[in-house]
Amino acid sequence: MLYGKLGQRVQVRHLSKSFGKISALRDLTFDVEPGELVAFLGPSGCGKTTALKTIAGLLPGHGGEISFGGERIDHLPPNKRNIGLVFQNYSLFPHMTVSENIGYGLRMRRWPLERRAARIREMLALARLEGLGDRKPGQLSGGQQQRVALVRAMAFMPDLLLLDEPLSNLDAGLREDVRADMRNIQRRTRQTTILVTHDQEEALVMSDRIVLMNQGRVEQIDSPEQLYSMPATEFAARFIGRGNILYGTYLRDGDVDAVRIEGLDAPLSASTKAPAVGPAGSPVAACIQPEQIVVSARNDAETLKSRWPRAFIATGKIVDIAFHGGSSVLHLDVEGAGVLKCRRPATEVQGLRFGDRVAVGILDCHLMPQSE
Amino acid sequence: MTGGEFQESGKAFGGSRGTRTRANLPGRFRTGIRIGRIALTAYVLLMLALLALPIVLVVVASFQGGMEVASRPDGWSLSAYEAIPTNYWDALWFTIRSAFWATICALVLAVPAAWGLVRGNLRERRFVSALVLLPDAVPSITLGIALLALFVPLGLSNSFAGITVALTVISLAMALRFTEALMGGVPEELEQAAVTMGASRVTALTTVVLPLLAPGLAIAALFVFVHNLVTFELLLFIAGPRATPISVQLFSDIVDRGVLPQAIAMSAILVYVGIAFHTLVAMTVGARYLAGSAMARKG
Amino acid sequence: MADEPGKVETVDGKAIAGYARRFSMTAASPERLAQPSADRGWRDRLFYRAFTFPALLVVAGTAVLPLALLLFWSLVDQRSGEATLRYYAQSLASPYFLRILLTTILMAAGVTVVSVMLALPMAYVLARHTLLRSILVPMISIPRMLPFVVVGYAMVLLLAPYTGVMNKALIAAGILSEPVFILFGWPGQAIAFGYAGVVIAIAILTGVFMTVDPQLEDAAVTLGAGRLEAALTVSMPLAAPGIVAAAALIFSTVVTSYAIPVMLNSRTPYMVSVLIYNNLYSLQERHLAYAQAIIVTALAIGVTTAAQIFLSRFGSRR
Repeated sequence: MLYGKLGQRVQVRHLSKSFGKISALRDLTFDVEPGELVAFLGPSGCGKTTALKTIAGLLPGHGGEISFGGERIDHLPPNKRNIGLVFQNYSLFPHMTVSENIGYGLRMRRWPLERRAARIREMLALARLEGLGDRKPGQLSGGQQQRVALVRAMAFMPDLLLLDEPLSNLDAGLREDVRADMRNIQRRTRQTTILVTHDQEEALVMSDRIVLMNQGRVEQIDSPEQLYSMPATEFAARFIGRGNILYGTYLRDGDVDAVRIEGLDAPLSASTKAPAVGPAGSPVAACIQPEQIVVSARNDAETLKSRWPRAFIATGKIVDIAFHGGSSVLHLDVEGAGVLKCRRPATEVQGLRFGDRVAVGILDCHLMPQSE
Repeated sequence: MTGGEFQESGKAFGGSRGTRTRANLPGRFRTGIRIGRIALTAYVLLMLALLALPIVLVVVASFQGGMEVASRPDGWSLSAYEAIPTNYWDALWFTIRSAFWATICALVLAVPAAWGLVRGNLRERRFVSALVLLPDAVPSITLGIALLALFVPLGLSNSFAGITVALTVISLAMALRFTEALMGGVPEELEQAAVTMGASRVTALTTVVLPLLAPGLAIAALFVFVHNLVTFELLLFIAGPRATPISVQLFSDIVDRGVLPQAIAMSAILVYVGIAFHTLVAMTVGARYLAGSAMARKG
Repeated sequence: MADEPGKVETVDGKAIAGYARRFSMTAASPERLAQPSADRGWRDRLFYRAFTFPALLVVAGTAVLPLALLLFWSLVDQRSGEATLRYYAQSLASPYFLRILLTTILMAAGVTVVSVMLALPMAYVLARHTLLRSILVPMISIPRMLPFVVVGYAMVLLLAPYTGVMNKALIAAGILSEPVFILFGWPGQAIAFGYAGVVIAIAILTGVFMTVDPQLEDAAVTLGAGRLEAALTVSMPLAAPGIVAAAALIFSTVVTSYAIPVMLNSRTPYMVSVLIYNNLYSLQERHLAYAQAIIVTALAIGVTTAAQIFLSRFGSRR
């Protein structure tokens, strides 16, 4: 309550939008709870920015419903929707000072002067820009401009804040700080927010929930943890994770799920599966996280078997090995399965070299329907 | 209210089935938008008509062979074109020749100058630019009188050379503006790369920069040339019976003898030249260059 | 520069002489060129400067020299050859000249304001609608590529009392019973100037509005401004320098215009350029004409400069 009113529940139902014959957005339905930060994640061209601009009202001619706290707003022009939008390139007004930029929305809402000034001061403090209110945007650094754009869109207490790739214009080094800053501001103000990004890490770190989009359609809506560990589709697994994907046939043996992979002599056991996987015998994609693969020297297969009795054991060859601080990442050419990526603690793979033949154990996998 | 709304289509707020509290807004919005769109369309059409009408009149009148635009549909003829006297054709040919040479001279002077200014990053760059652009800043009537004052003692007034020199001054200003902008668009690294591979700076200019600039220079030349064709006030004073550009010829005829059919026909020919020029430029670079402020021309 | 004089010497000396000692150059050049240009020696600068000399020479001979002569002669008595200010004094003390100057200024100012106002929305629309722009800009640009003389012919065809299209149409429609004589008075001139002014203004302002990012207006709209409000509070201030520049150009064009006033009669209003021409040719008062030309030039350049100063002092851009 410190910085504004609490947001309302945002509901989007069957939102669709097409440009001519090209359908950019198909039947988008989701809710954003008050104070929540939801990320639209997807490859470029998947329709996430279209979704954002449609919600903001900047792209007319859409179908579907948008409501705030149960009240329809999709018939309103963008300036009456009470939505704040932070543009990818910030779009700060170059001829106005930082204070004038922040106060623009308040001026348009005919706030009295003193209240406006107080709000601008509050926003400058929130963005840690005290004393810079009289500068022009051109005199600020990229990170400062970004924060001005953010508080400008929040100053008038919007029901919903939209962020369009807010970090993409910043240097890689700066991005992490600004990301923490933004998340911090959002948490403190409990501002209901939608973030658009193509960067999985950004989405995973910042958001409460992620709407994963592909070709104008929703692939999955879930918490970051769920999305990462249990992707619903092959696309989701490929986009989010660094996992290995293998194709096979779904096997069901009593209560135990497994998958038979062409070329491997035994089935892999799977502890989780996406709801959309069909009955036994249907084709599936198996996602093996790099942490779920173990290696040891070739003559040491017995040790692997004794340590992980349920593991699938094969032989392979190290085609790449790279040291990443606490862990090492190995690329293994596994017989029958192709090249798999494996991540183990550095101590565990000490002594292994590029080109070594090794014993490989696959511990677990997650099953999903195959994408076309 | 946003009566001047016109970027959004009326459809934008078509999904106004929401009948809750703010329900009276969409209706008003839609009306406002519709009125705005109608007013705007009407304004655009009216402006177009106003801008096109005089030109259309010249062309229509030129085919009617009279001194006015007749409403009767018959009487279309080429008689006005046939009546164009040889001194008009001479004047046009004279203008084309001097415009051509002035364009060549201006570019030959402007390209090295632009290169020196941009690459040398000279301290006096602003001053030099301002000096070369001086003929553009001074009203052409004043420059014309000044040139007359200089040319009369030199015997250059009323001569092909005099007209060409006058056109060169004004073309140079234009050409330098173009070439400076073009040169700024060629990364210096390309020249540096050529120099590291053994070229001298002058060789780098001729083998790397000039080929890159060539298309832009061609467009610039076209602009400068057409601008030279239609220059009037600058040349009025130094023109004479032995050196008459077409614009001066048409001017003195309307002043001395009134509106003549053959003069209208000649004006129409100048309109065709303008249209041909625009077609050429639009086909090569697209229409957006025409809108640039670099082409701000003076009467 | 001071720390490596030898290198500077060889590289530049070579380049000026125009022959390339390729091998030594490859070794020296990258280092040289990587340095900030402020460090370049005077020889280096001279090398580049040499390329600007031909253009400067031509400008000096054909623009600076004649204008200086003009100024000089305007300060010299035409008959006695003595230095005098009497041509300026005579002009500026003459109510006749001042009245003509005032008429000219009023005409120019009026035409400037009206044509900028008429052109602004058009330019805005053209800048924002790509399709419309690609169709209309060539059409609108054609009048810019015509001599003023052709515009004069067109105006006669349009507005002439008995033969002009407008009068005939209005009489045929029964709106007028007899033709209006607007062509050979100030309204005719104002219309002709306005035509030229609108054409110039649309061309420049379209370019100006195209440099203003349309997303800034979107941003203003999401912040609660209406479309019109967004255009007025965001795009207009950003376009202000261009608008002022266009206005200054139109003003100075009209102030010194000669073709239109003479072609469309010339007695009323009597524009200052016509007066100068008459002093120069009919009255043989050359030096007086020079002085008056300089007064008009000072006025035209003064307006442009004042506009620039105004912009740099109060301009809100960036």
